[in-house]
Amino acid sequence: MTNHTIFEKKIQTTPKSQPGTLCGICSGLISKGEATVGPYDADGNLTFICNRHLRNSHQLISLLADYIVDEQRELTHRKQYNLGISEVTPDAWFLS
Amino acid sequence: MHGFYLERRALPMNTPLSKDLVQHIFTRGAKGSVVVVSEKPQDLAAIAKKQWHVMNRLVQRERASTLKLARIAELSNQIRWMERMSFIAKPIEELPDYSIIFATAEALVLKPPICSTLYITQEVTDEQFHFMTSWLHSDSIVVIYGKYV
Repeated sequence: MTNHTIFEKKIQTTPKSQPGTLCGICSGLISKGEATVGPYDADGNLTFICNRHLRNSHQLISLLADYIVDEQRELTHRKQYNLGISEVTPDAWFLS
Repeated sequence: MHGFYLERRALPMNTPLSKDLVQHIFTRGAKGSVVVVSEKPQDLAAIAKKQWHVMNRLVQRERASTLKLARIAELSNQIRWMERMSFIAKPIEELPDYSIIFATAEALVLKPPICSTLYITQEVTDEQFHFMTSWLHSDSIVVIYGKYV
């Protein structure tokens, strides 16, 4: 593959080995190979969680609860101010 | 394919399948029914139910130890959801929303499930995989433990 970065400053075109994603509850960058599927966010998108959170049940329970509360607040805020909600309403995934 | 998300999982050292399964179901939250494909569905259902109760106790303990009102409310919701979940070790026609069904691949090929999350814990052939996932929605998740042939 041709490397186009040699003569171009501040442009990186080298592909990453595996596409990364952000952990839904700690916001750390992780590869999908070390991630677990988590709940849907306020936009109705699937989130991912670091596998290491699963190994610590206490941390998982508390962080996940905080995350869902934040997403519910975000959703309530959008409903209140008519900011638009995606077609897949994520509140269907939360108990009320 | 049907657009569902496919996750491949490898069990970490010293972690039983039932524990990882329960933790994974917990992270998915209350999103409809769950189906688990297993060679010994009744055995796995019994162990997973026990792990589920352990997890439920941890959530109760977390609720007792927190002072944040919003978190207490969310944990109460989670406890309610966890207590409502039933563990069924036979394939049934219509899956109730709060249920985890355990069945063999052979049984699910005959009655493909319509569920939000499908866990495959045994080796299945490409044909079995195709039939089992034929009725899944595009927002469903399929989690495969190990490899399938």
